[in-house]
Amino acid sequence: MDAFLGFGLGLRTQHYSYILEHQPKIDWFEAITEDYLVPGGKPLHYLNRIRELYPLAMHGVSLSIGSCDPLNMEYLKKVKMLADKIQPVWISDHLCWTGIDGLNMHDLLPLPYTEEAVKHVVDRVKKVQDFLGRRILLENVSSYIEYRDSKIPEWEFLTTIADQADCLILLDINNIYVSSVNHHFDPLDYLNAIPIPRVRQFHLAGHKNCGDYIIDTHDAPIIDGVWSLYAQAVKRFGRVATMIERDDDIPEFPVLFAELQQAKKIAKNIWKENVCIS
Amino acid sequence: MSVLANLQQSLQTHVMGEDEQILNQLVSPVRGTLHERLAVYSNAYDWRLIDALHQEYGLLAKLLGDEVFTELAEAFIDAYPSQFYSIAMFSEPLAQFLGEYPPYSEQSHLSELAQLIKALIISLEAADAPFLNFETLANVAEQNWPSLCFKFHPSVQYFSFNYNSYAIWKALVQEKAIPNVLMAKNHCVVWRKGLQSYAVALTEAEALILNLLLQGSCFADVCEAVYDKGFVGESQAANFVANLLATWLNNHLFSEVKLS
Repeated sequence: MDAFLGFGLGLRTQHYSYILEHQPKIDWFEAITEDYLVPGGKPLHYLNRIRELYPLAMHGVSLSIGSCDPLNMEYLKKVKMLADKIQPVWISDHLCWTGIDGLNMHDLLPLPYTEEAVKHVVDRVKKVQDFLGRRILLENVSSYIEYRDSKIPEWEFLTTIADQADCLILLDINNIYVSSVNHHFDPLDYLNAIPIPRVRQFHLAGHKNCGDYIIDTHDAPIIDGVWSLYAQAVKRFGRVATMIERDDDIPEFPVLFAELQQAKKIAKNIWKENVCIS
Repeated sequence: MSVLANLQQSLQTHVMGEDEQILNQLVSPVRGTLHERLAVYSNAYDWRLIDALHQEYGLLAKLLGDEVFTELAEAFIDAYPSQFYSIAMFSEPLAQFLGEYPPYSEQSHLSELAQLIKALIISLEAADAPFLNFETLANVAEQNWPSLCFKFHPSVQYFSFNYNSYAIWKALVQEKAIPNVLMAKNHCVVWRKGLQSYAVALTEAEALILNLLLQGSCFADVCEAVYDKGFVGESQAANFVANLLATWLNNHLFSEVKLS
């Protein structure tokens, strides 16, 4: 198993200057892959400078691993080139599809939990991993709809794919919480079904409660229910790299830094209790 | 078509429009309605793309007003749905759209403004290259100057506009009174110096020199052209061009110099 990476934050353009000036005590940053698939200039300048100071993970939103379109090799070549350049600790993307017929909805659309989808995704993950020369992490997404075709629960779908494709898992705790409300399941059933050795990273984020459902907005602080679920996840999975995603209404860096300290505090208290399985 | 492809087709069609076939393939939620749940995706599609356009083309929104800009954005999204892996690239065809689709195509300065705004963003992300310094140029022997050619930094982009689009852009940036739209041939160059992109207006003579150099013409040919076009007298041509080159060199427009 990889060494525990610690507690990180999403790398956002608003915070570049602060990070370089103050060099805050953060264990690592997660960069949105697509933001840096450019020839050069400002984005790569800052990415390289921050990479000199911190480990980086690459987190993509356009792999579209579940799409019935062919894999976008032009995109994958650029991802590989970036990875060769910045040597990320890992590369992650989402268990979803983002478009078909050459289009991109720029959203993380859910897959049906069927044998056909499992086989389709497994084949593609293997191809991607072969091409990149490394295992990738797949993240569970929030969803608002359920397909009639789905035959198994989401956690079984994720686990089966990870096992068959031999990929790793980025477990988004907020997404589990959001989907558990939207689809009326017990989030602990989800957590307890995920194989411990496959999980390399946790995501935490805020969301918007619309009453009958929750939208995964990443524009607000993390709520208590998600913190509680995170505590359960730490109990089950042990020392797993954790980071907070904030994509909208992005506050000053110290605000997110303080929120990250809360994650650290929760995790450390649980580790002290020595109730970790791993 | 596979079951999975069929399902993806149905959901995508719904997200992009009003097609309701997907409803038959979904389970009703325990709380709320299917329409509400689907609206999360279709609203996010519109909102995300409009927001991306607004972030890049905020100056156009300032010129047109938010309501008109949103209408424009919606029409663009319908005409040019994203085919790009990056949402930042999705806006690339906006200038083309504005030049093609009425009523926007009837206001040609809009397309020119969009080109200029996008060029500034593209220059910020253009490939890195060393910039030419005075020392390198000073070391060129005097007899070699006539055959000097210049390689521009990859961020350099030249524009020739038919309307006073540069002046409108400048007024928007500087938050000054927006000039009336006028038909007026004008030129500008966009490039990156350090981590900042710039757009500067060019005179006819400067535009001629920039174009010739971009096409690979050497110093002597450029001087001759400036004189031939009557911009300066023959004896002043070399100084005129050299002074301009010095300004551009100082502003990091060049990355290399070589002999033709």
